[in-house]
Amino acid sequence: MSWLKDLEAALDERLGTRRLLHEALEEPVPGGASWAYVLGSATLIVFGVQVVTGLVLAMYYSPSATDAWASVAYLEREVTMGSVVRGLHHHAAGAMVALAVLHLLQVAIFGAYKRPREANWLSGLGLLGLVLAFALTGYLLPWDQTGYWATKVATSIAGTLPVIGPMAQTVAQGGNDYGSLTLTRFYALHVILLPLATGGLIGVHLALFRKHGVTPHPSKSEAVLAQRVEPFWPKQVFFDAVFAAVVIAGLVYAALKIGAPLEAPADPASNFIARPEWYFLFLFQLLKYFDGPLQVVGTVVIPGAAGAFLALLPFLDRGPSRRFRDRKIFLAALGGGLAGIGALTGLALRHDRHDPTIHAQKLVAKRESDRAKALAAAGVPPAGAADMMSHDPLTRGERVFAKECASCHALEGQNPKEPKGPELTAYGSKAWILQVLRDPDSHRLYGRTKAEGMKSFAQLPAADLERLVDFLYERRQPDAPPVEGHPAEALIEAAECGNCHDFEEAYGLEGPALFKYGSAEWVLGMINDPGASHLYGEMNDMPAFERRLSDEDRQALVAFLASLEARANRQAWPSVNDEGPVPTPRTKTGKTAPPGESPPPSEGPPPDSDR
Amino acid sequence: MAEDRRTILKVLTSVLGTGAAAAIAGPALQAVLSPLGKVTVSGSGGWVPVCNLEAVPEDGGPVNVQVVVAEPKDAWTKMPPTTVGAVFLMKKAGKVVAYSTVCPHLGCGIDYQPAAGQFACPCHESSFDAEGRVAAGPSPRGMDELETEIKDGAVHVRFMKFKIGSAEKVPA
Ligand code: FES
Repeated sequence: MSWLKDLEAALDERLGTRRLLHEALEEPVPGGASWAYVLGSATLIVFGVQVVTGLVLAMYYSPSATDAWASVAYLEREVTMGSVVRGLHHHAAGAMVALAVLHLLQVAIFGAYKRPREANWLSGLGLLGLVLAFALTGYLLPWDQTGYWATKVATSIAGTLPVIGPMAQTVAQGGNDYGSLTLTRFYALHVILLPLATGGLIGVHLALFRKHGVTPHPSKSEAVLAQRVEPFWPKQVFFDAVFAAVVIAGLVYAALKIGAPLEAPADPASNFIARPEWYFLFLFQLLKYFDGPLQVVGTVVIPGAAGAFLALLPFLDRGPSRRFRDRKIFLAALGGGLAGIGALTGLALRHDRHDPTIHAQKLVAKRESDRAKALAAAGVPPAGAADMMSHDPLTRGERVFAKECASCHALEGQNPKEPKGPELTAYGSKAWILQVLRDPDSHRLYGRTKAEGMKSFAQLPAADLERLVDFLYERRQPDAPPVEGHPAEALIEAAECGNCHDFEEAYGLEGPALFKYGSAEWVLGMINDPGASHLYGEMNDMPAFERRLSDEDRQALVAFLASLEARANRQAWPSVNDEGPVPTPRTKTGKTAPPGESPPPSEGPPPDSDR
Repeated sequence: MAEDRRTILKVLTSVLGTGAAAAIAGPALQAVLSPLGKVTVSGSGGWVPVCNLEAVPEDGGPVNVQVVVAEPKDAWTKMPPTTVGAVFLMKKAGKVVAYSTVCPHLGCGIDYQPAAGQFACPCHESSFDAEGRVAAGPSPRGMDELETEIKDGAVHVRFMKFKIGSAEKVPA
């Protein structure tokens, strides 16, 4: 090992490493090492994690409105450990906010901001501001629904500022609206300006810390502190290392188990309800209490006042004593602020937990996000991920359905105020067809339409019902065998289906023709012109969409409706072996739906519906 | 005793520090090295129709045609039909031969000089004869020949790139 000593001596001669190391490690800690001091170093170490993981992310990220989402999805999907690195960066961002705030609290409680450490306190506040700026700019970069909409709220707030508002907003978002220039701007801030500023300010913060040393617990007298002075190395470093290791273990766990979310690509046409990250929730909640001309109170005045209070703390709390009993007002103010933040966060969380719109949106968001990721695996066209989604028949069809159809047709627990048409949960499935045969005039099906009055087949033996269902289900096949000679022919004759329904391409009967029933062609015909003579004719009360919707939209609807069978939840309709009316299932909120005038579709048919 | 304690703390601190650093640096390094052995940009190695057979001159002189790939992928992007490179096509003894335009020296684009009847790379003045062999200059090997095939009157080329700067022709 003597070569190590030689190397060390050689280095010291040239670089002065011995003195540097000595200064870094032998710094005396009055009162000895303490767990109270680990927060600052942990924040610093997590910043290091962000530098390393951020560098990797930057190698795979493309800050352009068409590419950003796709590049992040690519990183998650294709890059070895990509999702882990992104998960680390995401959770470390949250950890950094939490650690910086805890560090601030510890410092404030110990009264460490007092003379002569005012500048250190202020540089620390500046660092906290930078951490929040990192979080804000980073949230937008994936260009997914949450990032896009939550950040839009932030820049819109800038726009409502008095006098400078519009200018501030344009500068912040890099143009008159969100687009590639917003991303390049946020990216430049996030990866160049903020890291440089943070690095510099960390230097100042550490230098001042070294100059003034630690601030021990206020209850310890000078004499006690002087009695027990330990060097920084190794005990304090050990404490710091233990805590940092725990934090990093937590980050690795979160990165592996939870990862970083990636919602569907940002879609300016959607009405996504965005929520900021948890550490900004209180600000978001605060907005709710101030509207109109008072809005600026929630957006600027209160947060600004809180910030100003923190910045002025060393100059307000000027007494030399750091003891708690001499600083009651200030500690109470801090505690009050903290309680306020906690309460606002809690309110925001509770509100969302009980909001059915948000629940419904989460389901759609999850589906769209999964769909987008699946599509992206085959490559995203140059027009971008949002464009890819808008031309995906399933996604487009679901959106068209929500806009054009959902006001009359119930679907998977989403109930229109006035359901005018049949519920379409599991549409086209055997369960759906069975329900039509059993109870066509149920309020969930045709009971409210002009087409009510079809005979119920609930009394048929289950086996016959099943064969009828199979027969009807089979109509959509291009090679479906005709009624004549069909094994179910006698059954169909006995049921007298042919009195009202055509099964061949020769139309003329009163009820809708069932030739190719359930095929894409038949469904498109229903969408185009349900009142056509071979469909519902006089009995129709659904609008014709042929001229109301584009070709692409109608084709997308057909694709979407065809997908409902596969994603049907098994509880939606009773199966052929169930006897009689279904027990009323519980609705989303856990309450049993009252049998009102517009009962939710998840309620079974009323017992008297078999006429 | 106190010295022992200090030593234990020092060792434990080093272990914790190394472990934590490895937990972050490990995944980061793997992600950085992820492109190794992967196709991040496609459009190479497949058969591509480049032109009609009639477009190749009967006199044996070369024609430079672009290689347009239908749906190449560049990382996350699925491109529309995109030009990914060019080839020289010549008729020789009734067959169509194709040469890559990529200079095997350091990858510049090779030109055809009709007056001299040879190929030349402007970068470091390598030149190649009509058979693609090195006539002069620093190129370590002749021009890279590509496989061709005639299907329904169209010339198809198996477009690919080869390792630059080596005497042997190995796929890049
Ligand atoms: S690259 Fe062609 S001669 Fe150097």
